[in-house]
Amino acid sequence: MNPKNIRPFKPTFSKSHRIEKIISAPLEAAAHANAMMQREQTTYMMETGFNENNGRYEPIMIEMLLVQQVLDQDDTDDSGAPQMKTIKTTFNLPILTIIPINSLAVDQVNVQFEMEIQQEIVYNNTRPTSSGIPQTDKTQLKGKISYDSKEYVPNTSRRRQNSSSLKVEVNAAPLPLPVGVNIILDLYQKAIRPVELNNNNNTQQQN
Amino acid sequence: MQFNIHIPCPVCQTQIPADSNLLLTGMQFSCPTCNAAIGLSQKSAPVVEKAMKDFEELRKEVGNLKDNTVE
Repeated sequence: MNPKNIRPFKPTFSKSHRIEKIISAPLEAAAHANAMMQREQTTYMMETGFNENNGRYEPIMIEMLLVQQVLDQDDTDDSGAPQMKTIKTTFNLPILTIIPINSLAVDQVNVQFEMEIQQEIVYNNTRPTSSGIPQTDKTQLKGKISYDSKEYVPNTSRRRQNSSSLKVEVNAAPLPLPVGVNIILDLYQKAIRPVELNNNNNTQQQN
Repeated sequence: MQFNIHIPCPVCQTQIPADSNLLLTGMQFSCPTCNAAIGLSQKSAPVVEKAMKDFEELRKEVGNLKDNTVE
């Protein structure tokens, strides 16, 4: 992770910008952070979950225990009833399946600020489109981030220039785990099945 | 108890809710369908411990990234 790539969002109070730019700036910052997290997460998954062998990645497997209670027909009590027996077997899992990797993401972004509309530009568009339907006029708003109304101090330079203000609240949430990662985990999970190796109740799972 | 992973049961394929940190402590988790219990073998504990430690470091880095980027 390169700290030089981290650019904190600092609102500009004096300059007027397009309203879209003001709203999208913090969301772009959040998306940028999410992208960096995904890169870090991918690097972690490749380094922790796989061994590279001549350009081929093989999953690192871990050994798990499976404990079951079974009735043993060969071991009976005085009345001839089979006894319960504890059987311990082992099976292998890719290490990635026991690490909660889907928890790394921007879970929620809340952006709240107030802004003053300083300029309204209307573009008249009378030319019909290729479908023959005339285009509607387009309006572009320009504004600047205003100080919080709770901080309003009359007769100072912080005083609001006009009353054309907007309160903007933006909520954003991440998409779930990437489809590719889900497919890999799903394939691993579907491949889990016990394979009997010998007759002494010792089984091993292969993937 | 909060479970952060699900491991498919090797016997009946039911998803067994589990916690990776508790697996490291030797705890076993039971399948809700067939009652088979699964746990981490001591043989693999060091590998998983290192992976979880690296994962926690990654989480901390991500936490710093969140704090620094969106204010």
